[in-house]
This record gives sequence, C-alpha cells and structure tokens, in this order.
Amino acid sequence: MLPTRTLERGKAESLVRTLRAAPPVTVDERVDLRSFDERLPEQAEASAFGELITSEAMREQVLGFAAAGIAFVRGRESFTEMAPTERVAVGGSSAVTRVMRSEERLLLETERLNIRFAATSSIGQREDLLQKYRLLPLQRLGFAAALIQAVSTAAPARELALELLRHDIVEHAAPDFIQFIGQRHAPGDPEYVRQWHLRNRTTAGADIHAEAAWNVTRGAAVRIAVVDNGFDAAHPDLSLAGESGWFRPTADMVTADFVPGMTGMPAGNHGTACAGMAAARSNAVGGCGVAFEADLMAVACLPDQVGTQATLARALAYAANPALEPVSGFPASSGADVIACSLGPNGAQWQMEPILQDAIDYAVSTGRDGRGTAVLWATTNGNYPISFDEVSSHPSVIAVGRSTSTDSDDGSGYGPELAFLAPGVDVHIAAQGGGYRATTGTSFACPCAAGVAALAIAVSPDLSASDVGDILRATCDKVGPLPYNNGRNDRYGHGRVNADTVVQRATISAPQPNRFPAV
Amino acid sequence: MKVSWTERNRTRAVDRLEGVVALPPDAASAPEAAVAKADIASPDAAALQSAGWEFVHADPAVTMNCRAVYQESGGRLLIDGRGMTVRFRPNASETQIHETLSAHGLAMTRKLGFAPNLFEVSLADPDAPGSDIVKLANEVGNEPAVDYASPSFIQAISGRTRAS
Repeated sequence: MLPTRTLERGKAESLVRTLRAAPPVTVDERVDLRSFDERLPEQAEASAFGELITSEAMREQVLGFAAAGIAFVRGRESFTEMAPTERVAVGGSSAVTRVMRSEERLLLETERLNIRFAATSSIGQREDLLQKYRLLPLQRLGFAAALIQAVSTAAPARELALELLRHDIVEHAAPDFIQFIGQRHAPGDPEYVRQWHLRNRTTAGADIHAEAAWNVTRGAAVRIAVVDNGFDAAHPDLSLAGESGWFRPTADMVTADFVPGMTGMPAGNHGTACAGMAAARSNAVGGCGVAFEADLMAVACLPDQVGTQATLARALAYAANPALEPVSGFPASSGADVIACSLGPNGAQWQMEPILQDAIDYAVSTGRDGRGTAVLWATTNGNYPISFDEVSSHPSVIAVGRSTSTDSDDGSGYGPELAFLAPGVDVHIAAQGGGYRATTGTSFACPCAAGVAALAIAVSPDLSASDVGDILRATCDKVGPLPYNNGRNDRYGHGRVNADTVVQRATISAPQPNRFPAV
Repeated sequence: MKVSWTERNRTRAVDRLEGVVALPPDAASAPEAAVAKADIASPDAAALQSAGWEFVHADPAVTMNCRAVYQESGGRLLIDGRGMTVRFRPNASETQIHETLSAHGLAMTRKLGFAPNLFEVSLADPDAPGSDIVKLANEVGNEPAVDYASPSFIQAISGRTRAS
C-alpha cells in the first residue's frame, strides 16, 4: 500500500497534468458575466447567452446560472487583462476573473484557491509560501488537515495553482471555480409513469417537456390558485395553502359568505383533478403536478356547481388578493401568481356579467403588487367558436384548449381567441378519494398550462401577467397537421404548450435580482 | 316573454318562462299554488335540480318563496337571484349610493373591493308582490349615479370535463 503522502502527491501530479493538458480549458477572453440587475453598458456588445449554448449540457448550465441571476456578456475587448474596477466599468464582473470552458463544463474562475498543505509542513513554511505568491488566507477549512482557502492578489488563480503544486509542502492546490451543479429530477412517484402529459413514453415528445423544465425549476415560491367547486383537501398529493377557502351560500341563496380554511370545504373530483394537475406534490405517493413545488391555493366557490357569477367573481378576486375577503385575515401579498379556472358550460354560449369582468380585470392588472395575476381559463369542450363564450374569450384571459397524447387537437373550442392547447385527454391525475384516474376535458388542460405559467414565474418573478401569456404563446410547439399563419391557427392556437421552452424564454427574457455570491 | 336590460352599453335579452317558477333547495314553505313539476328543455335543468332546485308550474304572484326563471337564447337557465350587482360612478357619494338603493327597495349586502363603488345588493323585501329583478335592474341602471346594474342570476356553472 502506498503511503498517504505519496498518494496525495500522485493526485496533485495528476491535477497538474490535467491543468496542463492542451487545451483543457478554453478561456473566453471577451466573455464575462454581469448580474441581471445591471444594465448592459454600451461598451459591452451583446449578451453571450446564445454563443455559449452549444449543446444540451451547456444550455442547462447557462440557464442554471441565469436562474441564479448571472448573465453572460460579450465585451469589445479582453476582460482578462483588466483590473476588477475596469471590468465592472465595461459591463463585466468584479467577482469572477475569467469565464472558462472545459469540455462541456462552464467554470467561472474567481481569485480564490483551495490549498492543502502537507501535514509535516510548518506554519512558517506555509506563511512564506503564501507571501511569496501574494496570497491572502481567507479561512481555514476544518474538514481536512491544513486545508485553507486563500485569495490571490496577483496571478490568475489557475496559473497560481500550477505554481503552488511545484512545492513539496503543497499537496493540493486548485482554483475555487464557481460551477452550476444542477439537480436532475425524474419524479419517483409511482403513478408518474402513467402521466403521459409530463413525459410521453408512447409518442415521444408529445408532452409538455416537463423534465427538462424541472432541471431548472419546479415552481417553488410561486402560488397557483385553482378556483373550482370543491376539492379533496385530504388528498395525499394535495398540500393546500392556508389561504385556501370556500364560499358558503347564505340560507336565502342570495349571496355567499367566505369561509377561510379547509374545514367544511366541499369535496369535488373536478377541483381535485385540476389542483393535482397543476401542483400535486412529488412525494413518492401517486403522481405529481406540473409545478410540484408551487404553493397551491384552493378556492371553492359554487357548491353543487350552482351559484352566481358574483360569487365566482369574488373567488377570483380573492385568489388575487385575499385581503378582499376581510374575514380571511390574509394580506394582499398572499395572493396567487397564477389563477386556473375550469368552470363554465360545455355548450356554445356563456354570457359574462359585468361583475365577473371586473374581477378578471382586477386580477390581471392589480394582482402580484401590480404585475398582474395571470388568469387561465378552460375553453368549452364542445366544438364551438370560443367567441360565443364571453369569459374564456375575454382579452385578458388565456384560453386553453385540450390536446391528445399524439399531439392533436380534440375538438374543443376554437377560434382566434384560443391561446394554445395543453394535454387534456385521458390525463392521469389526482381524483377525489385519494387516488388517481384518467380523465378528459379542457378543465385539465387549463391547470396544466397554469403549472407551466408558474414555472415561468419561478425563474422570472418580475414577469407581468401579460408577459406570462406572451411567453407561453411564443414558445409553443407547432403540433398538428394544420398550417400556422403568423404563428397560430384557430384549432391549435399557438400550438401545444412546452414547459422547457417556456422556462428557457422566461429565464433569458426577464431580469432577476442579483444573487451572485460575493468573493 | 322576452325581457331585456342594459348594462355597460350592452342590451341583454332573455326569455322569462311563463307560468314556471323555481323553488330553492329546502324551501321553507310548500308551493301553495304549485300544480305540477315543470319539465324544462335545457341542459342546465338537471344540474340545478341536482343542487335541490325544483321547477314547478305556478303563479309567482301567489307562490311563497319562489323565483322567476329565465332562459338565454342558447338554452341556459337563469334563476332570479333576488339581488343584483351595482357599480356606481367613481364620483358617487356615500349618501347618493344609499339613497339610490333605498329608493329602489334594495339593501346593501356587501361592498366589493375589486372595483370602485361596486356592491352586491339584495331586495329589501324579496317577497313583495310583483318584484321583478330585471325590471328593477333597468330602473337602477338608469340612475345618473350608476355605472351599471346587473341582475344576479343563479345558474349552473359546472366543470369543463368530458367523459373519457
């Protein structure tokens, strides 16, 4: 058995060889990064997003960095020769010294190095070496002996690491690269294999491309409200937010009183299925929803599927701003980011009362502190023009039709008001009573798309309700046999919604707060 | 009988079903003048009946606790909700609002926060003979302080599902 010292030295030599291999690392001298909340200075030519995305692996990393608030920018001159202050002045970063590519990995070099000294070396020897290379010790890392993190005040970290490895008292020296280390998530829920709308195992690609989107986000910190008639609040895959509630008709049936919480909430297979489609938990039970880490607010408004549009309007407004029902005790800030509603007649006509129009207008313009709560609505299941339905054809509503597991339409409402299709035929989703069931309807296409909208907002929280609709429309897959004219046709709208492209577009198109770590 | 009202510069028309009324679920009083259950040709009838509403042939003028029934041209059924939503103009004063409602026999049920000066109101005396929510909505809607007055109808609003 080799002595430990020899083994460690061998590892270090291996690292030297790796670093010296030609060319192990490509330095993009004119590519640097900036935080999303900084404006692109004139000195920087353009975003470097596109040129870095040369493969699926690179795409995942670029989007991962972007989700963390880091954008890449191409400058007019080499960033690597500049001092940090100069770099910042031309749109670069003071924290990262170089953007490197090693095969399919993006490595962001900082001024930090991790150095492990030989246990036999003295404190004085270590200090001398640090001084020689103008290294400032940052911290001692306690999980290994003689391991420190230091900042280089002179040479670039990678070159310095090579120099340090020439000294016997150094066992290991390596730049402290910032990397995107993504999580890969294929849900382990037992019913997931039957949820073709998330991953279609029969007709490849005829799904919403959920898994690729989940590599970036699963909807955490976004709230989806499902406005419906009743829910199985005890379903093991539904974790309803405390802001959920229901409307109880008064004895004279003239109006309804809001009841906060789930106690007494009417049950309902329809609402359960809609809620599960949008945000059923991934918890090793049942299946999962499109945005399975999103908050889920359930608002039941018309028990027995009978009531007034005034109550439906109040339910929508409550979802956008819970403070509107003072008995709830919740602030406006606890309102939903996305509302899915799949209520309405399946015939051709539905006339909208002005109070419902007022509520929709309020949600899309005032929700989310003025950014607007996106409102998605299921079109009629009947083969009728959507224009006959004044609710889902409202200009501020995102009207969703249903698609099949072979990416065709299925005869639901059509016309210029149709935004797009989403899976809604024989979809395997949560059911009243705790289980899962295959079911069909535009009702389920709508919360499917609402889950996708939640993923968009998760990566770009500042998107307006209008932005969300635009992104969902612009990124659809152009499925079906009919030609698309100006990107759409009346049977498919803009096509079938695609969570992956939605997340990509949302990530790149909208700025996020800078979460770049300080050095 | 065709009846109509105007809201937000749009006239809506429905048929008021003659000789047919709706009795609410768990109606406290029996329909004294009911003669027979009414069969109504509408896809909504079953949903409303399933929720406990009954349709009977009766004279609303002499039948306690009954509601007028309307039908849209597409067949949808609307039951008199004994109330309406009224949105007053932004400059309407509180006094104006109360006086307007009171003058038309309406009581404020609640103020709604998602639009300015928007109220759910109900008939102060719902059993008053001859009360007609559509006629009343037209009258209130013609008041100068009112933006719109819209009758509140109880209706079937189901989920948009389809048998697989």
